[in-house]
This record gives sequence, C-alpha cells and structure tokens, in this order.
Amino acid sequence: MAVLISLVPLVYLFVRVGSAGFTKFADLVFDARTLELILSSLVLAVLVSLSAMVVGTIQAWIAVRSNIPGRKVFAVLAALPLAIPSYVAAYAWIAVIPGFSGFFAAWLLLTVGTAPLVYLAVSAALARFDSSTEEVAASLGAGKFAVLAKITWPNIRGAAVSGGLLSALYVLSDFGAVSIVRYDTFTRAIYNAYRASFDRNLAATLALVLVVVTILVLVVESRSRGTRAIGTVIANRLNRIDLRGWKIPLVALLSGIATVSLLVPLASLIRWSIAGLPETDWAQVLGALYNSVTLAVSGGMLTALFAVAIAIIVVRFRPRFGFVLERSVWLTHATPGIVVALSLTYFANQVAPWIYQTSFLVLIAYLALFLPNALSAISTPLRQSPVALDEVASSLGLTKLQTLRKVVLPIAGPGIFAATTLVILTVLKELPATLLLRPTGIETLATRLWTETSVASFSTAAPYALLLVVLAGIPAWLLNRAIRKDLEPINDLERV
Amino acid sequence: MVSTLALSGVSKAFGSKPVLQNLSLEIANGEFVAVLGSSGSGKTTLLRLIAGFDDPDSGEISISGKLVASKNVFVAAEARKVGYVPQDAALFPHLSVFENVAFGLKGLSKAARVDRVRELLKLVSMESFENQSATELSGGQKHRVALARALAPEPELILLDEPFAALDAELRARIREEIKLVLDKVSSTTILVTHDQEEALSIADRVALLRDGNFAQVGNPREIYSAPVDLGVATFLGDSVIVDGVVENDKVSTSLGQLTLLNSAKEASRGKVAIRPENFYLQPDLNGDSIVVGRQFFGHDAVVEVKTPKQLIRARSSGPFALEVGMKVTVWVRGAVNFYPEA
Repeated sequence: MAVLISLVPLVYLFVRVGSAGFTKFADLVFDARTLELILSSLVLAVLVSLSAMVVGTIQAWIAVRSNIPGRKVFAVLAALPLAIPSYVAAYAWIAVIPGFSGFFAAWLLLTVGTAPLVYLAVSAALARFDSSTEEVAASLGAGKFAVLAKITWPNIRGAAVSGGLLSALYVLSDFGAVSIVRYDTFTRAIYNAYRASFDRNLAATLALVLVVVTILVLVVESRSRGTRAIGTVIANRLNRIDLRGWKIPLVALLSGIATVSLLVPLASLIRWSIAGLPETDWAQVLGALYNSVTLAVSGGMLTALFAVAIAIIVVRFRPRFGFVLERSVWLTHATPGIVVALSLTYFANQVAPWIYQTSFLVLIAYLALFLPNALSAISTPLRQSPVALDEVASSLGLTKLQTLRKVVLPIAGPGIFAATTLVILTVLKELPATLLLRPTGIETLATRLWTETSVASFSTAAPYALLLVVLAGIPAWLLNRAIRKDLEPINDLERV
Repeated sequence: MVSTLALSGVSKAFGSKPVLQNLSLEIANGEFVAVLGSSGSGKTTLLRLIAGFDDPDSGEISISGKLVASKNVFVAAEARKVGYVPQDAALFPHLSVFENVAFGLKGLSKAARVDRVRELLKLVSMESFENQSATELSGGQKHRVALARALAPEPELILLDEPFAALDAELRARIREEIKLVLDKVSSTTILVTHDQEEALSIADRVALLRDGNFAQVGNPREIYSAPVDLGVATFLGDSVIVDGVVENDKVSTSLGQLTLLNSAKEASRGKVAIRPENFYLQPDLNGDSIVVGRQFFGHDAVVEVKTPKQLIRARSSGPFALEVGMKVTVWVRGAVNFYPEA
C-alpha cells in the first residue's frame, strides 16, 4: 500500500505523457529549449560532482590520515554544511552579493553543499583501509606521491565515485538553490512551465526526462557501490602522515572551503536577522513555524509508520518478495521533489479532486519523497536485535507477534525514535513539494523564505532562514551523525 | 666486515612515555635475529624505526654501513631497501598476486619482470596463484605472497612483524618452517619481531630480548634459554620453579638439595634459583618425602605437580610415563642451575 503510494506519481507521469501521444512527446524532448536544459543540467551535475569529489576527498584524507593541527575541528566543519539546506545557503549568499547568480553561483553553492556526501563516504573508506599497505609500498621503494596514487587512491576510488554520484543526484533534484541563483535547470524549468502557462504536457515531459536521467545516475551509483567492496580489510591502526611543509597551505585551503560553505552563509544569516529584527512580523513567523511543525510532524510520523511496517516485514520476516519491495521504494528515490509534486497535482486533479488543495496531498508527497530515507534509517535499529533473540523467544513459547512486541520493538525502540525524529526534521526543510502542493494561504518557513527571497526582501526572509538552520538543519545533522556513528573513522589508536 | 644493521644508542619516546632507551645491536649479513618481547615492550616501534616509518629521538641506525637515521640524517623508507612483512600480510587488496609481487620491481624489462615474479612465486610455492586477487587467498598464502613481495627488490634486510600471530597454531608452525626455509635459501638478513618464546627460540640464530625498552639479553637461543641473565628473563622464557638458596662450597644449598652452579656466585650469598620443569627427575620412592598431587596430560608430555616438604613444584615428564597422583617420590634436579643473588 505504502509502496503503491510512492509509485503512483511515477506511473501517473507515464500515463500522462503517454496520453499526449508519442510524437508530441518527441517534439517536446527534441525541442531546442529542452535540449538546452538537458545540457545545462547535465553540465552542472557533472562539474559539481567532480569538484565535490575533489573537495570531499581532500577533506577526508586530511582529516583521517594527516597530522594537520585542528584535525578534529576540520572533520566537523567538513560535514557541517549538510546542516544548511542548499536554498538557505543560496539565500544567504545572494543576500551578501546581490549579483550572485548564474552558473558559477550554482556550481559553487552545490559543490560546497554536496562535498560532505563525498567526505563522509571517503572518510569511512579511509577508516576501513589498512594503512600498513602504504608502509609496505614505501618499503618497496614507492615515494609519498606514488603511494597516494598507487595504493591509497585505488582503495578509496569507489567511495569517492559513489559520493560523487550522490552529489550529481542531489544537483539533478535540487530546486531551491538553482532557482534562487537563477540558473536554468530541469527543476526550475518544470516549475516555471507549470506556474507560467499551466502547460501540463511540457512540464510532464520535462519531468519524465529528468526522471530518466536520474534513474540512469542511480543505476550507475548502485553499480559503483557493488564493485566498491574490495575484500574484507580489517580496520588496522592508522598511521598519520606528517604533512611537514604542506601543513600551512592545506590549513589555508580547508579554512577557505569552510569560509565559503559555512562562514559566509552563517554570517549573512545573522547579519540580516539583526538588521531585520525590528521589522519582523512575529505573527507571520510564528504562523509559518506552526504550519511547518504541524506538517513536518504529521508527515514524518506517517512516513515513519509506513517505514516501520515495511522494515519489520523485510528485516524480521524476510519474505521472498522483500527484496522487490525494498527496491521499488528505492526507485522513487530517483524522483526529484518537484516531479513528485507535479505528478500529484495531476493525480489529484483527475482522479481525486477532493484531495486537491488539502494538506493531505502534501502529506502524500512527503510519504512518497521520504519513505526511502525513513526505511534505511529505521532498518538499521531493527537489524540490531539479533535473530538469535527471536529464536530464544519462540523457544520460550512466544508467537511471532508477541516476540515483535516484547523483544524486537523494545530493543529497536530508541533507534526507531531517533530515525522518526530525523525524518520529521528532514520534512521540515522540504521546499518544492510544499511550494507546489500546499493549500492556498498555508505558508511554512521554507515557502516564506522562498517568497521573500524571490522579491529580494532579504531582511524579511532572514528569520525564516535562521529558524530553518537552527530548528531543522543542525538537529538533523547531529542526529544523522549519531545514527551513523559506527561509520565514523577510527581515530587516534595508541600505538607502541 | 660491515654489519648489515647497526643500531647505536637508539631512543624513542611517544610524548613523555619512553618506549626505547639507548638500544645498541649489530646484525651480521645473513643472520636471523628474533626480537622477543611482550606486548608494549617497544618491539614494533623498533621495527618501524629500522624500516624508516618513524625517526628515532636520538642514536644512529646504519644499514650496510650507510647511515640512514641520526640526528641530522633521515633516509625515507622508500630509499632504505628494507623489506617489510607486516602482521596481517597487508597485500594490496586492489592488485593481483602477480601485481603485488611486482610492485617493488623497478628498471626491469617486461620479460625480466615476469621472470623475476615467477621465480619468487615459485620460491614460496605460489606459482599457480599469480592471477588471483590478493583478497581470495587464505591466511598462510597471503603471508607467502607478502614474503615474495618483500624479497622482490632484493632488500638488504627483511623485517617480519609478528607475521604468524594471526594464524592458527598448526598452520603457524608450518608457515614458520616454510618461511625460514625460503629465507635461508636466499640467505637473507632477517629480523623477526615476536612475543612467542617458542617461535623466537626455534627459528632464530640469535634472540634479542626486549624488556621495558632495553635489551635485557642478547644471545643464541640455547644460551638465552639455559642461562637467563635474571629471574625476570628466566620466567619470561618459560616455566620456572623458583627456590630460595644459599651458596656453600661452590654449590647452592636449597630445599631440593645441593645444586651445581652454572654461574659464579659469592660464597655465603643468599638468593634464588630458577629451575626449568624439565630439569626435575622424579624418582618413585616409597620412602620419599614428596607426593604427586596433580597431573596435566598434554599427550607428548605431561606436567606433574609435586608437593615437597617446603613447596609445590611443577615438573615436566614424558607423557606416557608420567607418575600417578598419590605416588611418593624423591625429587632430583638434573644439570646445573642459575643462581640470582638478592639485590
């Protein structure tokens, strides 16, 4: 049922485009404007993922393997941009430099915004990596750079590429940041096509092309993941590499990255918040906050509920169709928020008009969008209760349901609670679907920020941006860290 | 002749904690030296200093007469020509067996390279595995490939860092034999670091016993086992029964009788004597003053616990002929013993 809901948008999109006829579809796809959009989206995605790979890999290597001063601080700074939604960062930059727009702006914002994805993947790989192989290579006559190129890089390449593809996926589905810096990609064009002309065919066609491109990237990503596991290397002690003369330039580089990714946006947010404080319409802010929290809590709980049900079925009962079930949910992961929103408006208009313009539709969008994330976050604690416990419980005469209630859920409970909170916080930051589907007059923190930024009233927008970072970004980041704690690099093992 | 390795006055500390203090040692060409120490004794640190992964705080290290580490000199690991086989073999996981062994070969034609790798793989009996991925090998196979890889560039010196620790007991003994044979065949100069007394004593030409950052004793396995310099070394190297004694007329008088001295000691000094379990002879004797109170059977031999009038001793005897619990015996000590006067 949940899976059906999450698949509805995709199916509907196909039906919609199909009904318009293939020639019409082909005309639209091969239209010069569409091709231009494909090109500009792909160029942005490719360049951002490349630069994010470079930045994230360098950060990870320095943080995990070098003896740079302030290593731990830089390790936190490298992951922290995940706490700032990309459209908030875009707002913050444009509020500092009003002319901050176009390709370069989009590239810079998305590079520093998605480098943490690479950073996390590569630092986990580096922590698993047996660094005594580097010493062996040195004893066989390989110099420092030869060791990096021949030993270290081949072993983290898979993680870097996988992180880079995640970055590309993010760029393809990003709507807020590219729109604010006015760089035309698919998501922005879909929104404009929908808003400007209500030309459903154009919007739907663009959306379908975007989905296809995204699925291609996703397939490549899962392939690269498959080849990443190189044997079972036991995490060994890590030997830190003495950077000697490189220390100062690298500290400067890392500080520079942190300035772009964190310092400038945060300084700008604070500055405009202070500037805008006297004229802040508190009733409006509180109203938006109330709407955001209500929508996020109900959307998050709903999603978590479905996720728990699916995860229990897949993880604890291991049905034969479990694999298919999990995979089909992941398919919707390829669908950018704007596409889900768009297809739901068609769906509501044609099939269920009574649902249109209600918050219920927004909740369905959240469910479709965040079920994959919720599923993976909730499967982890559920897997932690060992199957042996189930067997013991059943040997003591408990039925499967009783075992679930008395053994599995109590053990997984705290983990499920944390995962649910994480989903709620993620929903709180959601922009495109909320923007498109919210009932008229319902404004959230994200939509308010969007509206105010598009009319360049930066001081009015500031409190919303600040609230989004403080209420949603930072807690989500902290929780995410706690949930994936076991991936944290193993640091500072004493060696004698 | 120039020593292959010369350490003189080498010290190293991590923070305020001294790990190695003023170590000196010379190793001749072709010699196999085991550095024996318990965990935390600094043996891995010593190996890392020789390999060039760390630099000493003071002292000098020379390899084949060439100074590689001192106050003003530091030759990086890649320029030292020291082969290194770490504990877990650390094969490059992304390379095949062949590529692993070929990694350190430089300046050879393609054909010469292939020949050299094949020759080495044959040496370690891994010639049929050359195209396998390094991750598909078993523990013992990994170690053999790691050894071939280390030998490939014809290093001055091979360092083995507890290379057998991760293997199970039976495999361990076999791989140890095989590796010793290979190293003898290429007459390599080798340093083995281990915490296993049996391993050190059975495989090495010379054993250097490292304790608290100092060499407590260096010597060939026989002398180090039969003449430990102090009680600590004696007990570290194997089970010992410690008995109080006084020196009288060039013999040491103990509750187990008058024992012959191996070392010289001052007349009338008091101290302790360390006796190996295999040096006891238990003579069944209905009028004996000692009684067998326990027996642990190991198959090839057995340890028999005997209660003498003064103390409990553990004696090793051949398994099938071990005495039964409850038998009365007289205890004899065979051979000479080491006497350690009280400080």
